[in-house]
Amino acid sequence: MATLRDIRRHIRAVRNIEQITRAMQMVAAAKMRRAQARAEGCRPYALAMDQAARDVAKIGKEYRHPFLVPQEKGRGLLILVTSDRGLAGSLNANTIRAAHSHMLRNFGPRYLVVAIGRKAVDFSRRMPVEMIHHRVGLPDQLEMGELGPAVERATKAYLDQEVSGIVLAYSRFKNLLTQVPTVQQLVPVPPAEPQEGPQTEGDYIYEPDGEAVLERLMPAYLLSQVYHAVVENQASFYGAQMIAMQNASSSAGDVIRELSLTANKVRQAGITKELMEIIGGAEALQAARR
Amino acid sequence: MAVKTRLLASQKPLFEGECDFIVLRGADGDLGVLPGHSPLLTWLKPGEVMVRRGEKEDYFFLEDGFLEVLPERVSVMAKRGERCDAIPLDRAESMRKAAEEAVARASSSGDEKLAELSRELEVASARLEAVERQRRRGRE
Repeated sequence: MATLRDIRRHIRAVRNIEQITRAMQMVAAAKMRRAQARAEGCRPYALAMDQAARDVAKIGKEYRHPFLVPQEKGRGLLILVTSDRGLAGSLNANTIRAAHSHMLRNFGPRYLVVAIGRKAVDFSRRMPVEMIHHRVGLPDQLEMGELGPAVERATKAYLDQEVSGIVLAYSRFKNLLTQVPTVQQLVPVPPAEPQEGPQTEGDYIYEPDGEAVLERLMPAYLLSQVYHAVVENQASFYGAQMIAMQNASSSAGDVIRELSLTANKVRQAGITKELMEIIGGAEALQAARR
Repeated sequence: MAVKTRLLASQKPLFEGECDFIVLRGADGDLGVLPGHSPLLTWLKPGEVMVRRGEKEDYFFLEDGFLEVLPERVSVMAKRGERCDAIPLDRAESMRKAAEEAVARASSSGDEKLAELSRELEVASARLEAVERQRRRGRE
Protein backbone atom coordinates (compact mmCIF):
# COMPACT_ATOMS: atom_id res chain seq x y z
CA MET A 1 0.00 0.00 0.00
CA ALA A 2 1.16 3.54 -0.81
CA THR A 3 2.63 5.39 2.08
CA LEU A 4 1.41 8.80 3.11
CA ARG A 5 4.59 10.36 1.71
CA ASP A 6 4.04 8.77 -1.74
CA ILE A 7 0.49 10.07 -1.88
CA ARG A 8 1.52 13.59 -0.90
CA ARG A 9 4.20 13.57 -3.59
CA HIS A 10 1.61 12.46 -6.14
CA ILE A 11 -0.72 15.29 -5.07
CA ARG A 12 2.06 17.84 -5.56
CA ALA A 13 2.77 16.51 -9.05
CA VAL A 14 -0.88 16.69 -10.09
CA ARG A 15 -1.17 20.19 -8.66
CA ASN A 16 1.76 21.30 -10.84
CA ILE A 17 0.05 19.86 -13.90
CA GLU A 18 -3.14 21.67 -12.97
CA GLN A 19 -1.29 24.96 -12.76
CA ILE A 20 0.20 24.44 -16.20
CA THR A 21 -3.10 23.47 -17.85
CA ARG A 22 -4.84 26.39 -16.19
CA ALA A 23 -2.20 28.79 -17.50
CA MET A 24 -2.51 27.30 -21.00
CA GLN A 25 -6.26 27.65 -20.78
CA MET A 26 -5.99 31.36 -20.07
CA VAL A 27 -3.43 31.96 -22.81
CA ALA A 28 -5.64 30.10 -25.29
CA ALA A 29 -8.69 32.13 -24.19
CA ALA A 30 -6.90 35.43 -24.82
CA LYS A 31 -5.57 34.31 -28.21
CA MET A 32 -8.91 32.82 -29.13
CA ARG A 33 -10.71 36.14 -28.73
CA ARG A 34 -8.33 37.87 -31.13
CA ALA A 35 -8.38 34.98 -33.59
CA GLN A 36 -12.18 34.91 -33.45
CA ALA A 37 -12.34 38.60 -34.34
CA ARG A 38 -10.04 38.00 -37.30
CA ALA A 39 -12.05 34.99 -38.49
CA GLU A 40 -15.35 36.82 -38.25
CA GLY A 41 -13.90 39.91 -39.95
CA CYS A 42 -12.66 37.83 -42.86
CA ARG A 43 -15.73 35.64 -43.29
CA PRO A 44 -17.95 38.04 -45.32
CA TYR A 45 -15.06 38.78 -47.69
CA ALA A 46 -14.29 35.10 -48.25
CA LEU A 47 -17.97 34.27 -48.78
CA ALA A 48 -18.35 37.10 -51.28
CA MET A 49 -15.26 35.97 -53.22
CA ASP A 50 -16.64 32.44 -53.28
CA GLN A 51 -20.00 33.74 -54.44
CA ALA A 52 -18.44 35.85 -57.20
CA ALA A 53 -16.46 32.87 -58.48
CA ARG A 54 -19.56 30.68 -58.44
CA ASP A 55 -21.58 33.38 -60.19
CA VAL A 56 -19.01 33.49 -62.98
CA ALA A 57 -19.07 29.70 -63.18
CA LYS A 58 -22.83 29.95 -63.63
CA ILE A 59 -23.25 32.76 -66.17
CA GLY A 60 -19.77 33.58 -67.52
CA LYS A 61 -19.36 32.71 -71.19
CA GLU A 62 -16.94 35.17 -72.73
CA TYR A 63 -13.85 33.51 -71.26
CA ARG A 64 -13.83 30.08 -69.65
CA HIS A 65 -10.91 30.13 -67.24
CA PRO A 66 -9.47 26.62 -66.63
CA PHE A 67 -10.79 26.82 -63.03
CA LEU A 68 -14.31 26.92 -64.46
CA VAL A 69 -13.97 23.97 -66.80
CA PRO A 70 -14.60 20.49 -65.33
CA GLN A 71 -11.70 18.14 -66.05
CA GLU A 72 -11.68 14.47 -66.85
CA LYS A 73 -11.59 12.63 -63.53
CA GLY A 74 -7.99 12.26 -62.37
CA ARG A 75 -6.17 12.50 -59.08
CA GLY A 76 -7.27 15.03 -56.51
CA LEU A 77 -5.42 17.70 -54.62
CA LEU A 78 -6.21 18.37 -50.99
CA ILE A 79 -5.20 21.62 -49.32
CA LEU A 80 -5.24 20.45 -45.72
CA VAL A 81 -5.23 23.14 -43.03
CA THR A 82 -4.45 22.08 -39.45
CA SER A 83 -2.74 23.58 -36.44
CA ASP A 84 0.97 23.23 -35.74
CA ARG A 85 0.50 22.13 -32.17
CA GLY A 86 -1.76 19.66 -30.44
CA LEU A 87 -3.38 19.65 -26.99
CA ALA A 88 -6.59 20.71 -28.66
CA GLY A 89 -8.74 17.65 -28.25
CA SER A 90 -9.95 15.97 -31.42
CA LEU A 91 -9.82 19.15 -33.55
CA ASN A 92 -7.22 18.08 -36.12
CA ALA A 93 -8.28 14.45 -36.10
CA ASN A 94 -11.82 15.49 -37.05
CA THR A 95 -10.67 17.71 -39.91
CA ILE A 96 -8.32 15.06 -41.24
CA ARG A 97 -10.93 12.31 -41.02
CA ALA A 98 -13.52 14.37 -42.91
CA ALA A 99 -10.98 15.42 -45.54
CA HIS A 100 -9.56 11.96 -46.05
CA SER A 101 -12.93 10.29 -46.49
CA HIS A 102 -13.99 13.01 -48.96
CA MET A 103 -10.84 12.40 -51.01
CA LEU A 104 -11.32 8.63 -50.92
CA ARG A 105 -14.91 8.97 -52.12
CA ASN A 106 -14.12 11.41 -54.90
CA PHE A 107 -10.57 10.74 -56.04
CA GLY A 108 -9.15 7.52 -54.56
CA PRO A 109 -6.38 7.01 -52.01
CA ARG A 110 -3.35 8.32 -53.92
CA TYR A 111 -4.19 11.99 -53.89
CA LEU A 112 -1.85 14.96 -53.63
CA VAL A 113 -1.60 17.15 -50.55
CA VAL A 114 -0.61 20.74 -49.87
CA ALA A 115 -0.12 20.59 -46.10
CA ILE A 116 -0.56 23.70 -43.98
CA GLY A 117 0.26 23.15 -40.30
CA ARG A 118 2.47 20.52 -38.68
CA LYS A 119 -0.36 18.06 -38.03
CA ALA A 120 -1.20 18.05 -41.72
CA VAL A 121 2.45 17.36 -42.54
CA ASP A 122 2.56 14.47 -40.05
CA PHE A 123 -0.60 13.01 -41.55
CA SER A 124 0.72 13.27 -45.12
CA ARG A 125 3.93 11.48 -44.16
CA ARG A 126 1.99 8.60 -42.58
CA MET A 127 -0.35 8.06 -45.51
CA PRO A 128 0.30 6.88 -49.08
CA VAL A 129 -0.43 10.38 -50.38
CA GLU A 130 1.98 12.67 -52.18
CA MET A 131 2.82 15.89 -50.34
CA ILE A 132 3.82 18.45 -52.98
CA HIS A 133 4.12 21.46 -50.68
CA HIS A 134 4.03 22.18 -46.98
CA ARG A 135 4.02 25.19 -44.77
CA VAL A 136 4.35 25.26 -40.98
CA GLY A 137 4.86 28.00 -38.42
CA LEU A 138 2.38 30.54 -39.74
CA PRO A 139 2.06 33.58 -37.46
CA ASP A 140 -1.20 34.49 -35.75
CA GLN A 141 -1.14 37.89 -37.44
CA LEU A 142 -1.26 36.29 -40.86
CA GLU A 143 -0.63 38.29 -44.04
CA MET A 144 -2.33 36.89 -47.11
CA GLY A 145 0.96 36.91 -49.01
CA GLU A 146 2.38 34.23 -46.68
CA LEU A 147 0.11 31.71 -48.35
CA GLY A 148 1.07 32.76 -51.89
CA PRO A 149 3.55 29.91 -52.53
CA ALA A 150 1.14 27.22 -51.30
CA VAL A 151 -1.66 28.52 -53.51
CA GLU A 152 0.64 28.90 -56.51
CA ARG A 153 1.85 25.33 -56.13
CA ALA A 154 -1.74 24.07 -56.02
CA THR A 155 -2.65 26.15 -59.07
CA LYS A 156 0.32 24.78 -60.99
CA ALA A 157 -0.66 21.20 -60.20
CA TYR A 158 -4.11 21.88 -61.61
CA LEU A 159 -3.01 23.81 -64.70
CA ASP A 160 -0.38 21.14 -65.50
CA GLN A 161 -3.20 18.58 -65.25
CA GLU A 162 -1.51 16.68 -62.45
CA VAL A 163 -4.89 16.81 -60.72
CA SER A 164 -8.48 17.25 -61.80
CA GLY A 165 -9.73 19.08 -58.73
CA ILE A 166 -8.68 21.06 -55.67
CA VAL A 167 -10.34 20.55 -52.30
CA LEU A 168 -9.84 22.62 -49.16
CA ALA A 169 -10.28 21.23 -45.63
CA TYR A 170 -10.15 23.13 -42.36
CA SER A 171 -12.02 23.58 -39.13
CA ARG A 172 -14.59 26.36 -39.13
CA PHE A 173 -15.07 28.29 -35.91
CA LYS A 174 -18.76 28.23 -35.09
CA ASN A 175 -18.53 29.16 -31.45
CA LEU A 176 -16.34 28.45 -28.47
CA LEU A 177 -17.73 24.95 -28.05
CA THR A 178 -18.21 23.99 -31.67
CA GLN A 179 -15.64 23.71 -34.40
CA VAL A 180 -17.01 22.33 -37.62
CA PRO A 181 -14.76 20.21 -39.86
CA THR A 182 -15.30 21.75 -43.28
CA VAL A 183 -14.49 20.32 -46.69
CA GLN A 184 -14.94 22.67 -49.63
CA GLN A 185 -14.45 22.07 -53.33
CA LEU A 186 -12.44 24.97 -54.73
CA VAL A 187 -11.65 23.95 -58.29
CA PRO A 188 -13.39 23.39 -60.61
CA VAL A 189 -15.51 26.15 -59.17
CA PRO A 190 -18.98 24.78 -58.40
CA PRO A 191 -21.53 26.95 -60.24
CA ALA A 192 -24.06 28.87 -58.16
CA GLU A 193 -27.33 27.00 -57.60
CA PRO A 194 -30.26 27.93 -59.86
CA GLN A 195 -32.09 29.80 -57.09
CA GLU A 196 -29.02 31.68 -55.83
CA GLY A 197 -26.56 33.84 -57.70
CA PRO A 198 -27.45 36.06 -60.64
CA GLN A 199 -31.00 35.63 -61.90
CA THR A 200 -29.98 36.49 -65.43
CA GLU A 201 -28.86 34.45 -68.38
CA GLY A 202 -26.80 37.23 -69.93
CA ASP A 203 -23.08 37.38 -69.35
CA TYR A 204 -21.27 40.09 -67.45
CA ILE A 205 -19.71 43.09 -69.04
CA TYR A 206 -16.01 42.60 -68.30
CA GLU A 207 -13.61 45.48 -67.97
CA PRO A 208 -11.18 45.44 -69.68
CA ASP A 209 -12.13 41.95 -70.99
CA GLY A 210 -13.10 38.49 -69.75
CA GLU A 211 -9.65 36.98 -69.89
CA ALA A 212 -7.93 39.86 -68.10
CA VAL A 213 -10.54 39.95 -65.32
CA LEU A 214 -10.69 36.21 -64.71
CA GLU A 215 -6.93 35.78 -64.85
CA ARG A 216 -6.89 38.07 -61.83
CA LEU A 217 -10.10 37.02 -60.11
CA MET A 218 -9.49 33.26 -60.07
CA PRO A 219 -6.09 33.32 -58.29
CA ALA A 220 -7.46 35.92 -55.88
CA TYR A 221 -10.46 33.66 -55.25
CA LEU A 222 -8.25 30.70 -54.45
CA LEU A 223 -6.00 32.72 -52.16
CA SER A 224 -8.96 34.28 -50.36
CA GLN A 225 -10.46 30.86 -49.58
CA VAL A 226 -7.21 29.40 -48.29
CA TYR A 227 -6.48 32.50 -46.23
CA HIS A 228 -9.94 32.40 -44.73
CA ALA A 229 -9.51 28.68 -43.94
CA VAL A 230 -6.29 29.34 -42.05
CA VAL A 231 -7.78 32.23 -40.09
CA GLU A 232 -10.87 30.17 -39.18
CA ASN A 233 -8.67 27.25 -38.24
CA GLN A 234 -6.59 29.39 -35.90
CA ALA A 235 -9.69 30.52 -34.06
CA SER A 236 -10.92 26.91 -33.89
CA PHE A 237 -7.57 25.77 -32.58
CA TYR A 238 -7.49 28.22 -29.69
CA GLY A 239 -11.13 27.51 -28.90
CA ALA A 240 -10.55 23.75 -28.85
CA GLN A 241 -7.35 24.12 -26.88
CA MET A 242 -9.06 26.28 -24.31
CA ILE A 243 -11.76 23.67 -23.78
CA ALA A 244 -9.25 20.80 -23.71
CA MET A 245 -7.21 22.61 -21.07
CA GLN A 246 -10.30 23.43 -19.07
CA ASN A 247 -11.18 19.73 -19.01
CA ALA A 248 -7.62 18.82 -18.08
CA SER A 249 -7.65 21.31 -15.20
CA SER A 250 -10.92 20.00 -13.84
CA SER A 251 -9.74 16.37 -14.14
CA ALA A 252 -6.60 17.32 -12.27
CA GLY A 253 -8.82 18.84 -9.59
CA ASP A 254 -10.78 15.58 -9.33
CA VAL A 255 -7.60 13.55 -9.00
CA ILE A 256 -6.32 15.88 -6.27
CA ARG A 257 -9.58 15.51 -4.33
CA GLU A 258 -9.48 11.73 -4.54
CA LEU A 259 -5.85 11.56 -3.55
CA SER A 260 -6.42 13.90 -0.61
CA LEU A 261 -9.19 11.61 0.57
CA THR A 262 -6.89 8.59 0.35
CA ALA A 263 -4.12 10.52 2.07
CA ASN A 264 -6.43 11.39 4.96
CA LYS A 265 -7.62 7.81 5.27
CA VAL A 266 -4.05 6.54 5.36
CA ARG A 267 -3.13 9.17 7.94
CA GLN A 268 -6.17 8.30 10.05
CA ALA A 269 -5.40 4.58 9.79
CA GLY A 270 -1.88 5.30 11.03
CA ILE A 271 -3.15 7.26 14.01
CA THR A 272 -5.68 4.57 14.86
CA LYS A 273 -3.03 1.90 14.66
CA GLU A 274 -0.72 3.84 16.99
CA LEU A 275 -3.56 4.43 19.45
CA MET A 276 -4.44 0.74 19.42
CA GLU A 277 -0.83 -0.12 20.14
CA ILE A 278 -0.64 2.33 23.04
CA ILE A 279 -3.93 1.15 24.52
CA GLY A 280 -2.99 -2.48 24.00
CA GLY A 281 0.35 -1.86 25.66
CA ALA A 282 -1.26 -0.07 28.61
CA GLU A 283 -3.78 -2.85 29.11
CA ALA A 284 -1.05 -5.48 28.98
CA LEU A 285 0.91 -3.57 31.66
CA GLN A 286 -2.17 -3.31 33.89
CA ALA A 287 -2.89 -7.01 33.47
CA ALA A 288 0.70 -7.85 34.39
CA ARG A 289 0.54 -5.65 37.53
CA ARG A 290 -2.59 -7.50 38.73
CA MET B 1 -34.20 53.50 -55.92
CA ALA B 2 -31.36 51.96 -54.06
CA VAL B 3 -29.25 48.88 -54.46
CA LYS B 4 -27.95 46.46 -51.87
CA THR B 5 -24.26 47.10 -51.56
CA ARG B 6 -21.44 45.60 -49.61
CA LEU B 7 -17.81 46.65 -49.31
CA LEU B 8 -15.75 43.86 -47.81
CA ALA B 9 -12.06 43.93 -46.96
CA SER B 10 -10.32 40.73 -45.92
CA GLN B 11 -9.85 42.00 -42.35
CA LYS B 12 -13.35 43.35 -41.84
CA PRO B 13 -16.52 44.44 -43.63
CA LEU B 14 -16.40 48.19 -44.35
CA PHE B 15 -19.95 48.88 -45.47
CA GLU B 16 -23.14 46.93 -45.85
CA GLY B 17 -26.49 48.43 -46.74
CA GLU B 18 -28.63 50.11 -49.35
CA CYS B 19 -27.02 52.84 -51.39
CA ASP B 20 -27.90 55.14 -54.28
CA PHE B 21 -24.64 55.64 -56.12
CA ILE B 22 -21.12 54.25 -56.04
CA VAL B 23 -17.98 55.57 -57.71
CA LEU B 24 -14.91 53.36 -58.07
CA ARG B 25 -11.60 53.25 -59.89
CA GLY B 26 -12.14 50.40 -62.34
CA ALA B 27 -9.53 48.71 -64.51
CA ASP B 28 -10.63 50.80 -67.51
CA GLY B 29 -10.98 54.07 -65.62
CA ASP B 30 -13.36 55.55 -63.09
CA LEU B 31 -16.86 54.21 -63.16
CA GLY B 32 -20.12 54.94 -61.42
CA VAL B 33 -22.74 52.38 -60.50
CA LEU B 34 -26.41 53.34 -60.18
CA PRO B 35 -29.21 50.96 -59.22
CA GLY B 36 -30.22 48.87 -62.25
CA HIS B 37 -26.72 48.71 -63.73
CA SER B 38 -26.04 45.73 -66.04
CA PRO B 39 -24.03 42.83 -64.67
CA LEU B 40 -20.38 43.86 -64.56
CA LEU B 41 -17.18 42.29 -63.41
CA THR B 42 -13.92 44.15 -63.12
CA TRP B 43 -10.87 44.53 -60.94
CA LEU B 44 -10.16 47.80 -59.23
CA LYS B 45 -7.10 49.99 -59.25
CA PRO B 46 -5.85 50.90 -55.80
CA GLY B 47 -7.80 53.97 -54.83
CA GLU B 48 -10.88 55.64 -53.53
CA VAL B 49 -14.42 54.31 -53.48
CA MET B 50 -17.34 56.61 -52.81
CA VAL B 51 -20.64 55.28 -51.52
CA ARG B 52 -23.63 57.65 -51.48
CA ARG B 53 -26.87 57.03 -49.67
CA GLY B 54 -29.27 59.93 -49.47
CA GLU B 55 -27.23 62.99 -48.60
CA LYS B 56 -24.44 61.04 -46.99
CA GLU B 57 -21.22 60.18 -48.79
CA ASP B 58 -18.65 57.75 -47.41
CA TYR B 59 -15.15 57.36 -48.77
CA PHE B 60 -12.98 54.27 -48.57
CA PHE B 61 -9.53 53.36 -49.77
CA LEU B 62 -9.22 49.89 -51.32
CA GLU B 63 -6.28 47.85 -52.47
CA ASP B 64 -6.45 44.74 -54.68
CA GLY B 65 -10.18 44.92 -55.14
CA PHE B 66 -12.84 43.40 -57.38
CA LEU B 67 -16.27 44.69 -58.28
CA GLU B 68 -19.21 42.47 -59.09
CA VAL B 69 -22.42 44.20 -60.16
CA LEU B 70 -25.63 42.19 -60.39
CA PRO B 71 -29.18 43.47 -60.72
CA GLU B 72 -29.88 42.49 -57.12
CA ARG B 73 -26.62 43.47 -55.43
CA VAL B 74 -23.27 45.18 -55.77
CA SER B 75 -20.25 43.52 -54.12
CA VAL B 76 -16.80 44.97 -53.69
CA MET B 77 -14.14 42.66 -52.31
CA ALA B 78 -10.66 43.95 -51.46
CA LYS B 79 -7.57 42.43 -49.96
CA ARG B 80 -7.10 45.53 -47.84
CA GLY B 81 -9.33 48.49 -47.21
CA GLU B 82 -10.09 51.23 -44.73
CA ARG B 83 -12.17 54.36 -44.31
CA CYS B 84 -10.37 57.37 -45.76
CA ASP B 85 -11.03 59.43 -42.63
CA ALA B 86 -9.39 56.71 -40.52
CA ILE B 87 -6.01 56.97 -42.26
CA PRO B 88 -3.66 59.49 -40.60
CA LEU B 89 -2.05 61.83 -43.15
CA ASP B 90 1.45 61.50 -41.68
CA ARG B 91 1.29 57.70 -41.93
CA ALA B 92 0.19 57.88 -45.57
CA GLU B 93 3.02 60.33 -46.24
CA SER B 94 5.71 58.26 -44.54
CA MET B 95 4.56 55.08 -46.27
CA ARG B 96 4.70 56.79 -49.63
CA LYS B 97 8.18 58.10 -48.85
CA ALA B 98 9.40 54.66 -47.76
CA ALA B 99 7.98 53.10 -50.93
CA GLU B 100 9.66 55.75 -53.08
CA GLU B 101 13.03 55.12 -51.47
CA ALA B 102 12.65 51.35 -51.82
CA VAL B 103 11.93 51.72 -55.53
CA ALA B 104 14.88 54.08 -56.00
CA ARG B 105 17.21 51.64 -54.23
CA ALA B 106 15.91 48.65 -56.19
CA SER B 107 16.15 50.36 -59.59
CA SER B 108 19.76 51.47 -59.02
CA SER B 109 20.84 47.99 -57.87
CA GLY B 110 18.76 46.11 -60.45
CA ASP B 111 16.75 44.19 -57.83
CA GLU B 112 14.29 41.68 -59.27
CA LYS B 113 11.73 42.81 -56.71
CA LEU B 114 11.40 46.10 -58.60
CA ALA B 115 8.03 45.23 -60.12
CA GLU B 116 6.52 44.40 -56.74
CA LEU B 117 8.01 47.50 -55.14
CA SER B 118 6.68 49.77 -57.89
CA ARG B 119 3.27 48.25 -57.31
CA GLU B 120 3.57 49.09 -53.63
CA LEU B 121 4.58 52.62 -54.55
CA GLU B 122 1.48 52.90 -56.74
CA VAL B 123 -0.66 51.79 -53.79
CA ALA B 124 1.06 54.18 -51.40
CA SER B 125 0.63 57.10 -53.82
CA ALA B 126 -3.02 56.29 -54.31
CA ARG B 127 -3.52 56.11 -50.57
CA LEU B 128 -1.85 59.47 -49.99
CA GLU B 129 -3.95 61.01 -52.74
CA ALA B 130 -7.13 59.60 -51.19
CA VAL B 131 -6.21 60.98 -47.77
CA GLU B 132 -5.41 64.43 -49.21
CA ARG B 133 -8.74 64.54 -50.98
CA GLN B 134 -10.41 63.50 -47.75
CA ARG B 135 -8.79 66.48 -45.98
CA ARG B 136 -9.88 68.89 -48.69
CA ARG B 137 -13.45 67.61 -48.39
CA GLY B 138 -13.23 68.05 -44.63
CA ARG B 139 -12.41 71.75 -45.04
CA GLU B 140 -15.23 72.54 -47.45
